[in-house]
Amino acid sequence: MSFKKLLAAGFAASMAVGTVQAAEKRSFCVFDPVGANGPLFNLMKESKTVALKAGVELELRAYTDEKIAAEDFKAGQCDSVLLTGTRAREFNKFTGTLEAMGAITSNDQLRLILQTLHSPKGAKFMKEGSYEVAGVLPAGAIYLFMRDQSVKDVKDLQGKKIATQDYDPAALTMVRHVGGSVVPATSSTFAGKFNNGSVDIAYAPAVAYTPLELYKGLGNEGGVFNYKIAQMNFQIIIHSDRMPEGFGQMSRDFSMGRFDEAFELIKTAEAEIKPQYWVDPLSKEHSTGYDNMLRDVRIKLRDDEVYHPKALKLMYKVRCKQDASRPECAEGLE
Amino acid sequence: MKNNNNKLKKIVSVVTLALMGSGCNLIYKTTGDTMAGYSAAHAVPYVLSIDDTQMGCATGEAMTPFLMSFSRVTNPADNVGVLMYSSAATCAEQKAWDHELTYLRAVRAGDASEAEDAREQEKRSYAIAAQRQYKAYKHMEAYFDVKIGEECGDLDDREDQLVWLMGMISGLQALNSQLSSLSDQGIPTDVASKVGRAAECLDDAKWWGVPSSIRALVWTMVPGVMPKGQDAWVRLSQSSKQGANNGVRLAHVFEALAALNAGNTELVKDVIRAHVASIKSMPVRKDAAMLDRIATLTLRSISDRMWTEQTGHRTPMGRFGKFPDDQVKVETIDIDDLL
Repeated sequence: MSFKKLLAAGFAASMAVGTVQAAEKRSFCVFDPVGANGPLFNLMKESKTVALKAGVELELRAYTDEKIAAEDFKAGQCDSVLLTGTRAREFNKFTGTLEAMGAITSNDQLRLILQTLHSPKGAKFMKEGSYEVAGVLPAGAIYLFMRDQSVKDVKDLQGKKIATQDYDPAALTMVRHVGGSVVPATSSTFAGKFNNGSVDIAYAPAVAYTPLELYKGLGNEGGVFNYKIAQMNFQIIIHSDRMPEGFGQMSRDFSMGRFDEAFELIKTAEAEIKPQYWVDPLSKEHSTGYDNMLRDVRIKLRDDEVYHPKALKLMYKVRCKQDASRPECAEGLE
Repeated sequence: MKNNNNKLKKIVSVVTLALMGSGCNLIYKTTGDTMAGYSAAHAVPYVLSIDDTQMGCATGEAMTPFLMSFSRVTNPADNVGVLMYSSAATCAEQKAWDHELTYLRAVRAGDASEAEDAREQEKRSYAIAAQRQYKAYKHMEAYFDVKIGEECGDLDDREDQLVWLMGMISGLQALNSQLSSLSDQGIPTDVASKVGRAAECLDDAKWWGVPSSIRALVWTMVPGVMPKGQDAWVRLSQSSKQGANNGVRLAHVFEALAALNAGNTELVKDVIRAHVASIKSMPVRKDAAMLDRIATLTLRSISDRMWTEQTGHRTPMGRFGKFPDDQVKVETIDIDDLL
């Protein structure tokens, strides 16, 4: 071998040793109402090191407008995205149904459902076309926040002005079902409308209570109805053809590893709501009445093809596994 | 006569014993009051007038426990506590920034373990910063004894206005540090909205645009709190100019943070460029040199992050205000006829 060849071989070898195989860059568009310094964005930073293990360098971009994040994802400008379960429904009807009204009535049920879906066996439900749900994170139960405690029963909701996310057919159906008056709102505007009295009622998870100062709207007269209307969640969705094989499951494992933190956060947020604000349903019968009403709405939305029938069935199974004495368990309508 | 002497001796003995018993407390109390008075009147203004931020941070870390320990024997010096704890927090914050750079370099190198470890260290440092910043905020609350965000404190003196300003900034920082630490440090999440309203208590012109800048930053952070007819970005830009024209460029930090939050990298760069240009053209205000320097360091840390993401190293010396992807026009002359 000539000196030149030796030199060339040596140079090539040293290049090979010196070069670290670069990870593939992929974008991750994160909806956080606060922006890049918000709690969701900070949490999603954690996924960077997980992705790195799969050879992906995630570039996080913050979106304060969820609609734009969803559109950019759809248009292929984001390889992955974090959205609320409601927005995620257009990419996966099954996981989008996890926020169905009254379908998950306790944190234990939610944990069981999420653990099942995040296991490799649940992967089948996480894929819809080229979209794949790479994780679902609980955000807590949604409660009704009322400016006065005169609302004791569903019939009292008639004619009340309710801040409603009107892009969500499920919310629209529900508000109309109870005879409420729809006042269009978004996650950015509902708190202002509630606090300044433009609406009588808003619905939100407890994590919104302190940062958005919902106690201002509650004042001395208001109350929080102690009934879980739905379970809000955040979902990571990926274009599966833009990610390496197995990335979705890896990301779901990451999400599952954060459940304890998420539930702890929810517990803390619920404890921040002053005890005098909580308004319990009048009786167990009333509570069962709400359960039945929400079930009717779910079935209607299933028939309207908003909710996924199998997801409803799964949640029904879990409810009845936890409490077989529920009247619905004998009827089996879902 | 002898009886009188005995009586006198007894009285002296009793008084002496009483004095011996309470003597230490008396001395401590006097010393505490003196230290608190001295700190507020001289030490704090002096530290604010120097531009050595490392010394400021070290002073905060070393002196805070000593000065605040006098609260055991006399009234707590809450006004001093605000400034001392916020200074001590800068140490933890700077450590967090360094860990973040390590994390970014590890990500670039594809080293997941190193990245994870650096991120954990970053979060720990932010947790310490959050605690210190929140203590500063709580001292401000205690000093003025008002409901922050609902009413203004007694702000007749300029010194008290400074305490109010630093307390507000510390409150905002505490919340941000808590978020960055990904842990619950006990900082209520409504601090941001409260601080946004409390900023209205200060005169913008006297405080280099900082109060307005804080308000506008909060409008960009908390959904739905911006009053009708206001534009956060216009306000931020105006405040930055006000700060630059007065030689205390703290408002630049809030504009840059808002831009970062919104993911507007170009605006972040513009703010940093404007900051560097202003340093060259407008001398710093002497009695607030530390605040101006802290602003510079905070912006440099943002610049370092951007440089590290793109090149693997922090901002090179002399390149602060420039960015790796800046288009540089290189002028040449035509040498075709010479070739």
